[in-house]
Amino acid sequence: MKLLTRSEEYVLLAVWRLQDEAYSLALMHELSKATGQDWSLGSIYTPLERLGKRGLLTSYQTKPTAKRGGRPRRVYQLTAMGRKELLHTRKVENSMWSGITNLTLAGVTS
Amino acid sequence: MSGFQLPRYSARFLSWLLNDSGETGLGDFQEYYGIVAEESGPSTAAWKFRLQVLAMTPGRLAEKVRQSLVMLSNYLTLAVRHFRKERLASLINVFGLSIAIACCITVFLFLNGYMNMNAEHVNGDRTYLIEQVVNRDGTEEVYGQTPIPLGPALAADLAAVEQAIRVSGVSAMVYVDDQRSEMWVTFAEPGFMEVFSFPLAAGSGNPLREADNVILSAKEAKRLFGNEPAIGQELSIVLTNGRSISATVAGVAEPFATSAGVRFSVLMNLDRIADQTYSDWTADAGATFVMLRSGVSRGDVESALQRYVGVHNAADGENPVESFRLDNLQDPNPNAWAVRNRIIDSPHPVFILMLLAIPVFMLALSCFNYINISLGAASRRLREIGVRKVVGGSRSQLVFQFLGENLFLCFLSLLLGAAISFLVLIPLFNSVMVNQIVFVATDLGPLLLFLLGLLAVVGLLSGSYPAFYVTSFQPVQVLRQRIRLGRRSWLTSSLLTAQFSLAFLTVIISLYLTLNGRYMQSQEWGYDADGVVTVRVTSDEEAAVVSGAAGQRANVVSISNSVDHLGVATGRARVRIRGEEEDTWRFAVGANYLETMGLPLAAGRGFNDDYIADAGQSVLVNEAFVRKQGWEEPLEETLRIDGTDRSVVGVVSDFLVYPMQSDLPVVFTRAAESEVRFITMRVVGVDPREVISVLRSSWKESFPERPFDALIQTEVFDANFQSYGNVVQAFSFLAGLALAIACLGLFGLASQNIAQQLKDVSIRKVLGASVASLIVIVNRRFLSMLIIAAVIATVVTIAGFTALTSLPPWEIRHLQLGPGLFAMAYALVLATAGLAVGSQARHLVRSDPSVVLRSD
Repeated sequence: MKLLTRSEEYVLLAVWRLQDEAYSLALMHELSKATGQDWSLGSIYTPLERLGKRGLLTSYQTKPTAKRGGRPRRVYQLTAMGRKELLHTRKVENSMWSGITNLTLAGVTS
Repeated sequence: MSGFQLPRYSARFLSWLLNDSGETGLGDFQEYYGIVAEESGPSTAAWKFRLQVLAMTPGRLAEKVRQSLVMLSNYLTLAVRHFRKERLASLINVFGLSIAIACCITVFLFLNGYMNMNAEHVNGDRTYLIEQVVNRDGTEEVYGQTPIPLGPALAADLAAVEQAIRVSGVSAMVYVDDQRSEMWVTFAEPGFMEVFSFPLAAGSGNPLREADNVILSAKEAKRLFGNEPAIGQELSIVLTNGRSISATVAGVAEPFATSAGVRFSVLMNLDRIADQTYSDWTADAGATFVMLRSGVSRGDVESALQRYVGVHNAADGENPVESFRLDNLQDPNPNAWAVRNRIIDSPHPVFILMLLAIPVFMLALSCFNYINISLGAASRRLREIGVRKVVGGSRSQLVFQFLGENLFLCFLSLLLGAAISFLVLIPLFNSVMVNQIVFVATDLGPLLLFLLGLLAVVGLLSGSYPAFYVTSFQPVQVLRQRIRLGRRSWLTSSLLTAQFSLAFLTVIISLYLTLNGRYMQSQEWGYDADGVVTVRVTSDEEAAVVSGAAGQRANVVSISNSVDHLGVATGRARVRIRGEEEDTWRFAVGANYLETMGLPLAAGRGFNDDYIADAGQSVLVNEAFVRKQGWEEPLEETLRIDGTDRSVVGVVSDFLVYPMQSDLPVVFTRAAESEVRFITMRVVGVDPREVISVLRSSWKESFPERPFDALIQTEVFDANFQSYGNVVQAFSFLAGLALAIACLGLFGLASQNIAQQLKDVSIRKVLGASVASLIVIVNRRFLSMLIIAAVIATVVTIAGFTALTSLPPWEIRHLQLGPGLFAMAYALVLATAGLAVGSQARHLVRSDPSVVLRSD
C-alpha cells in the first residue's frame, strides 16, 4: 500500500485526536496550532477527500445549525483501515529514525 | 445575523467550486466567517473568507477539469454506441449536414479569397489604383481606366510617387506551334514586377525589361507546355486587329494565392502594343497603379492628382473628368464594385449576400431535417432517459449527453463535408465560374477556425432542441408511456412542402436545360457545314498562300475570303434604315462566301465580282432582318452602313448564327481585300483533315515561323455546347442536392410519424389490414404535401417561363414547356420520395403487433 503523505498523516492524527469534534474547521484549527503553520480550508479538504476515497475515513452529517447558515457539519472518523495505516506509518517512521543519533544542529549556521 | 452576510461573488464562486450535495462545505465557510467576524469584525472576515476561497481554487479547478474529461469520454462512448444502434438515421443525418457544411466551406473559401485579395503583395498598403470620376448628366460615374500620359507625368512630377505603372489587357489568340488558345494578355510597364510581388518559379531578374519576353502564370505554363520547362519556348500572340507578336517565355510565376486580385495569364511589356502612345490625353490605359514612397500621406497625393484634371480636360473637352482618386490595393474603397472597367474585379455586395444566403439556407434546412430525424430516433430512447432520471441523473447531464452525441455526429459531418467540398463542389464551381477557388497553405488557419465555429454553431443549432425537449419529460410519464413525441405541427408540414417545392422546381429546371441542350444540338444550321474548312490569316500574303494552295487541289470546289466567319467571328454594324439607326449583326465576306458555305438565298442574288457596285453599294440581309423590319419587298429597300447607302440585292435564308440565340438580324457586306481574316473553302470527296494537312505544309514552307490555324466548320460550336453542358451539369447537381435534402426531411418526418402511429398500425394489423393499405394510411399526409409542392413548382415554373419569354428582346433559342417535361420531373421526385418513405415502411412491415401492444 502507498505510504501516507505528511499532510494525510497529520489529518488522520487530528481526526483521531478530535474524535466527535473532527470536522473541517476544528481540524484546521488543530492542525494550525500543532504545526505552527496556517492551514486553509482547501488544504484540509483535499486530503480529507482523498482519504475518504481510500477508505481510511468515513463521515457523517450532524444536524444543521444556524451558526452554519442552516447547513450541516460533516464529522470525520477513522476507519479500522485508517488506524492500521497510521500505525504502519509510525512504524516506518520509527525505523527510518532508528539508529540516527548524531544528527545535531552543530555546524549549521542559520 | 448580519455576521452571516458573506461576500456575494466569492460565495457564489465557492458554491460552484465545492459542488457538494450535502452543503457541508458551505457550512464550514459560513461558520468560519462567523467566527472571524466575531473576533475581528466583518471586514477582516470578508477578507479572510476571500483568501480561503482563493487558496482552494487551483486544486478544485484541476479536479473539475479531470471530472469533466471523464464525463466527456463517457459521452463519446455513448455517442459511438448510439451511432451504431441508429445507423441509418445517423448516416442520413451526417449526410444531410455534410452537404450543407460542404456548401459553407466552398463559399467560405471563395469569399476568403476576396477578403484577402492582394494580401501577398508586399507593397500593397502603399500601392493604389488611380480612378477617374466623371459626371454623366448629373450622376457621378467612376472609371477604372486613366489617360495614358497620366502615369509617366505622375512619376516625373510628384516626388511622393515612387513608381507609376500602366497596365492594359486584351483578349488575344496565343499560339504555341499551331496550337491556338484564346487568352487574356496583360501588357504592363516593367515596374509591374517591382510594385507587385510575383515571385518567379522559373526565370530570373525582371524579364519584362526585354521587349520580346513574356511571363506566364503557373497555371498557363502548365496548360501550354505540360511538364516541359516553359522557359525559352516561343509564342505567337495574335491581337484582334490581326497584328502578330512573337515572344519568348522568360519567366513563370509561382502559383497565385487567390484567383481574385492583380493577376495575369500572359504578361508582356507594354511597349508591344503600339497604340499606347505616350502623349495622348484622350486615350486611356487599362489601369494606372502608383506606388507611393513609404510614409507619404495618401491625401496629399490625391490632392496633387487634381492638377491633371485640367490637363486632361484641355485635351479632351468632350469627356471632361471631374477628379482623380486613389483606390488602395488591399483596402479598396467601399464602392469599388461600382467602378466601371476596374482592372481588379470587385464583387457587388448583393452578389456576396446571395452567395452567403445559399449556405445559410442549406444549413437551416439540414438542421431542421436533423431535428426531425433526431426526435424520431429519440422516441426510441425515452425509456433510457426515464430510467436515467429515476436513478438520479440530473437533467443537465442528460442534456450534455445528447449535445455530446450531437457534436460527435456534427464532427463526422464536418469531415465528410470537407471531403465533399474539396472533391466535388470546388472542382464543380471551378469548372463553371470564371473566378476560381484556389486553396493555398495560408488559407488553412482561417479555414480551421471557421470549421471550429461552424461545429459549434451547427452542433448547438441542431442539437439543442432535441436535447432540451426530450429531457424535459417527467420520468413517470415516460415510463408509463404517456408521452407521444412530435406533433403534426403545420410548421413542419409547410417547411417540408417548401423543401419539396424547391426540389420540384430545380428538377424541372435542370430537366428543361438538358432537353433544351439536346434541342439546340439537333437544330438545323441552315447551311451545309459538312466539308467546310477555314484557315485564319493575318495578312494578304498569308491569304494569297492559302488561296493558292487550296486552288491547286481538285477536291476544293470553292474558295472564299472573309473578315467575319459564321460561328467563329460575328461583326456588328450600325445600320440606318429610313432615318432610324439600329445595331445589327454583320458578316463582311468575299464574293462567293454564300456559295462556299452553302447558304441558300431566299430571294435576289448573292455578291458577284462582275458587279463593281457590290463592293460599296450592295448589301444582303437575312430573313430575320426582313421580318424584323416588316418589309414586304426587301429587294426594293436601301440601308445606310459605314456612311454609304446600299441597296438590298438579296435575302439569305435563316441560318444558325449562335446555337443559343434565334432570330438574329444579320447583314452581309462585301469585305475589303485588305482586311481578310479567314479563307474558307468547300472540300468534297475527301476528309477535310487531309486538305488541312496539305495546306499546313504549304504554309510552313512560306512561313516557317508563323502559326497555322485551321478549323472544321462542323466543330465550331463544340466549345459552346461544352460550356452549356457544364452549366447543365452544375444545375443537375444542384437539383440532386435539393432533392436529396428534401428527401432527408421527408425521411425524418416519416420516421417520427411511424413511431407515433405504431400502436394504431398494430391494432389494424391484428384486425387484418394489409401491409399495402397500412403504408398508404401512414403516409397519406406526405402524399398531399407532395401534391401541393408539385402544384406550387409547376405554377412557379410556368409563370416564370412566361414572364421571361414575354420580355421584349427574347433572343434565346428555347424549347417550349411541355407536359412531358413536367411528367418526367414528377416521376423523378415521387420515385425518390417513395424511396425515402419506403425505407421507413420496413419498420411497419416488420413490427410484431403482439410485442408492440403487449406493453400497454
